[in-house]
Amino acid sequence: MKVRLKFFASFRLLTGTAGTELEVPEGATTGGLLEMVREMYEGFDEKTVLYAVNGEYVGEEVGLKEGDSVAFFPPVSGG
Amino acid sequence: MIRVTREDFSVDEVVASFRSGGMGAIVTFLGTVRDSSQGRDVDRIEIQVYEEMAVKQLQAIRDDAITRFGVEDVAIVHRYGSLGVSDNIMMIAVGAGHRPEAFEACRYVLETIKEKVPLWKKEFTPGGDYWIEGEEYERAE
Repeated sequence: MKVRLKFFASFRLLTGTAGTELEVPEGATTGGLLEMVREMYEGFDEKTVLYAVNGEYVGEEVGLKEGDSVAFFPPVSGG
Repeated sequence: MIRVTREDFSVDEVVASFRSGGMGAIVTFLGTVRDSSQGRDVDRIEIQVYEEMAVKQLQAIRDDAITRFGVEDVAIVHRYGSLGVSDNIMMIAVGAGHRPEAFEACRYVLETIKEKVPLWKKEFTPGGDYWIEGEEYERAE
């Protein structure tokens, strides 16, 4: 199944993209996807990574569905 | 009122949008662009946002603050895009029956935004550009 990845702030520099699609195995979890992303992009494993599925913070054992939008981003700095 | 926007805002307009008869105190916080950061001069900043999520998070923080502190209403406006020194970045207004809960809720909303809402500042300085990510500074070039 395919999921949509989004990146923000310095992670766009690291990955070279604001977003992409990725084929993941059925039953993939957020934690599993994070491991895949860490392997895909050099330098990612040294980062503090926050993530959200369809705009909500979730835990690492959450199962993904076809078409989910998964955002990876560094600690925030608004306000 | 929850608003994430490129446009500037008027403090009076935001307060007028939520003012009600149950409020005996309205506390406002206005965040603006400072001309220095960690000893570096700052020429301007850019704010990036994950807009759909930021709006959801701000609505949740507003609802939580109303429940937690028993205040009447909370308005939050946050800008993104390119901002110059002294420009408005964001505003929080909390209306309550009395001042203690208004001050407490305003502080809570601000600190929660800084922790949770997906917005990032990039500072443009004479020595280069930096993303601010939590407590860390990352070169943006």
